Amino acid sequence: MAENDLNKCRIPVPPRAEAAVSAVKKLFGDSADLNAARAEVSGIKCAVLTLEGMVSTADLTKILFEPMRSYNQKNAEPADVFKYLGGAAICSTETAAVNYIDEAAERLCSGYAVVFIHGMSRGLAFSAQGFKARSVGESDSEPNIKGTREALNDSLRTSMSIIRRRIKSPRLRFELIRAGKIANIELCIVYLEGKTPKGLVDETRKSLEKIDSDLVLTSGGIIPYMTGSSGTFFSGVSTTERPDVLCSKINEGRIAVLIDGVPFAVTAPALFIENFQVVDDYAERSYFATFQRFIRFAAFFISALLPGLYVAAAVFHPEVLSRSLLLNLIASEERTPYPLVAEMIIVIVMFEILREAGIRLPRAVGGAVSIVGGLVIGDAAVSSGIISAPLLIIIGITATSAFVVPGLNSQITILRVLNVAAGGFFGFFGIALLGTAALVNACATDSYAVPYTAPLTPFTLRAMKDAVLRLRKAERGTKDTVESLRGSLR
Amino acid sequence: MNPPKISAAQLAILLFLARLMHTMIFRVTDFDSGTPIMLGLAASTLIEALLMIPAAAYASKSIRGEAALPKPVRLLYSLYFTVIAGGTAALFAEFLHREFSGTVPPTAAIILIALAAGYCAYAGIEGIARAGAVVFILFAALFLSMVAVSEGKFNWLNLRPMTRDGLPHFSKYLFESLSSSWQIPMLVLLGSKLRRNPAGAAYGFLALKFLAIETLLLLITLVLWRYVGVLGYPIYALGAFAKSDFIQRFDPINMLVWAINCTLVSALYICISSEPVKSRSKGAVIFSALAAAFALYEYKRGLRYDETWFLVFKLLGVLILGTVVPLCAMAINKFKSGKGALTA
Repeated sequence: MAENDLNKCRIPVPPRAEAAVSAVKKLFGDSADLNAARAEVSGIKCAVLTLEGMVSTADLTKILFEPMRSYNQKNAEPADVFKYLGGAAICSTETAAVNYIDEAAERLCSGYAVVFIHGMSRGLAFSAQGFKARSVGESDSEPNIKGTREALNDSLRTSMSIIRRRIKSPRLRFELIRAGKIANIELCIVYLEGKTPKGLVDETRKSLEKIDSDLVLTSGGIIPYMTGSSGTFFSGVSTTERPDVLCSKINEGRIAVLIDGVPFAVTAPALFIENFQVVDDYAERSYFATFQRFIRFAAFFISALLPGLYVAAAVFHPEVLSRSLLLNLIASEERTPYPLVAEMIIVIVMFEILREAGIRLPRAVGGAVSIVGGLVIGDAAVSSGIISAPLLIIIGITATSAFVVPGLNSQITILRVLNVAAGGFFGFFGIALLGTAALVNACATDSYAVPYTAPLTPFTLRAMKDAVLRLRKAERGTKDTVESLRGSLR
Repeated sequence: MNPPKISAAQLAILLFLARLMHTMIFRVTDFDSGTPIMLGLAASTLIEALLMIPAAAYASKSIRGEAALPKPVRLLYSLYFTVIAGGTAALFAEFLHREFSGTVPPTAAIILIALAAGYCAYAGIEGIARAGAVVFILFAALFLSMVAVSEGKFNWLNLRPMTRDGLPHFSKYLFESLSSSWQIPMLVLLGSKLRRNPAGAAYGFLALKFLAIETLLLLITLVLWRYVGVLGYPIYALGAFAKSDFIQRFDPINMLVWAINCTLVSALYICISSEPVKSRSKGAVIFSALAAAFALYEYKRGLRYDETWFLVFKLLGVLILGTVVPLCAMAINKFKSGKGALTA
């Protein structure tokens, strides 16, 4: 567990209930959301502490206050009350004794109610979480046609239940650990016993225990610890919001990490090929799914390379282009005031601005941005001769292709700009050099000892039935696990 | 962390790409009937197969951790491959200058290749080996697509039997081919990076090299014959026949794939040269800078990488570093282990 700031000062629970309440209040700095209710149980003073909005009042009344009120024993000692409340009388899913004030504070932050009994130097914590959480909705970032309509949730427990509903097996393991020096957020390692290599589980646990940041607010808060400081261009871990995708990855022997408050699961190891596989592939006929995968591969190469190749061919290697295309190009480029490289970079930057605006703005306005940007500005720029029409067509094709492979969007964007610069200054030679560096970088990326480019290189024939192709065999029978792809370890 | 390991197939492909790169950028000025040259290649492959035996045996000992070269000897290998890396970059820059003069100045080309190769060498041998497989497929795809759209015609009369007149060509090509077989000392160094089967890697490479280059020589003979001497780069000239409606000329595409291979192969040379330096980043920087310096010197001074003295230097490197050193190292090891057993 990550070292918590609260653990640095371990204050024992004082025997006086009021002193215990004061100690907790002091620790919270009299925070406005800390509630303290006083009650008497068989003449013994008790204090019930909760955090506003973290517990269900209705549940608390039913599981705690009603049994407290009904307990009536003459000459009751504090130990009797402690035994009664800590015993079978209270129907909470989890009851735990707390010996330290900081321990009580930690429980309160997790949605527990803590009871201090006058005369006892121990408290009791009852699980009564009841905070408001977003209801289970559809995935916005990974839409599909024939898959589930449910997405993972901000609430860790809800996400766990969503996964459990899909893998009803006792071999499915959820392992909770905490991270964040201040936030003390719950993380959950999810894996399938017998399929996920033990080394992968141990290594993930170790890397998560190293988290030393104060808060963990997004999946980006744990990814650097999982991937290490390798500085690779491609990421060895991936994220998903879809429970069906997540379960499929777990079934392939991968590990997933859920973060409380984040609706995305981080999965490892990630492979390059996964960016071209979608859940709908398995709902389609195999020949059509295979065709769609080829389309996605083509889209990746078009979106990363086409603008650079276009600039390089037009500036340095016009002999590649057919005569009619070349004449068209010359005619349209003659009217524009800027060199082709500058023109291309300007249009790419403009497109990225429009895309960013479309994402950040509210959805209703986001549509308007694309109309203004794509149609109005684009049309005006071509008709006024600032940019050429073929270039705008190239950017249009490129941008549309990039949306086909959203998992590689950041890499594609950077590669596209670099390719334009390399192609514009050094022609195909520049693109070749950049391409080799990117290729070697991708090939050198390992995620938990699994090569990122497997099963393409190192080549694993067995895994190919569900890699570039999606053969009929892939939809039935047992799946191969990532362990079989350990090209560098076999 | 596990030490980097590559498979025998990956190594065979890397060695083949290194050999292919050399064949591509080798400029021909005097090309007689193809038969002597084709026979020269066959003879040189046979000799290489014999020379490979000590290297493969040494590599197999390296896999088991029973062999390690002393540092001064290891540095000799580093210097040799730095020269080879520099030579490859210089020859490619010259090719660019001759065939694509407006694209990039040779000096800039050498520096850019060294930068990219240095970065790739820093990424490590596993990354280079995996990328090698992709480049190999890229080559195969390029070759097949060019063959499919080629407008070249086979003239079977070009394939004349070898006569006494062809002997000088035969021996010249044999000598040149043997001096280009520095894949043998590469096997000595890369043995420790192999998972298993060094003999498979060695003979897989030789088979691949023989089949591919012999096929190319046959095509060159049938399509171009003596005109190669006028055109300069034989494989490039062969590609000039390819033409389609979509792509008018394949030359720039050819150059693109060659440039990828040149970077990858240079990265391989730098990677194996920088092995004695503990820090991988420092090693990559030092040896890519050295390779670039040598390439620039060679290019500026007009030194010919394919001159006789250079060919002799390369052949000596092949014989000493690829055969003599591993034989001596194994003999010394055997003597030491025998002495140890006697003492025990």
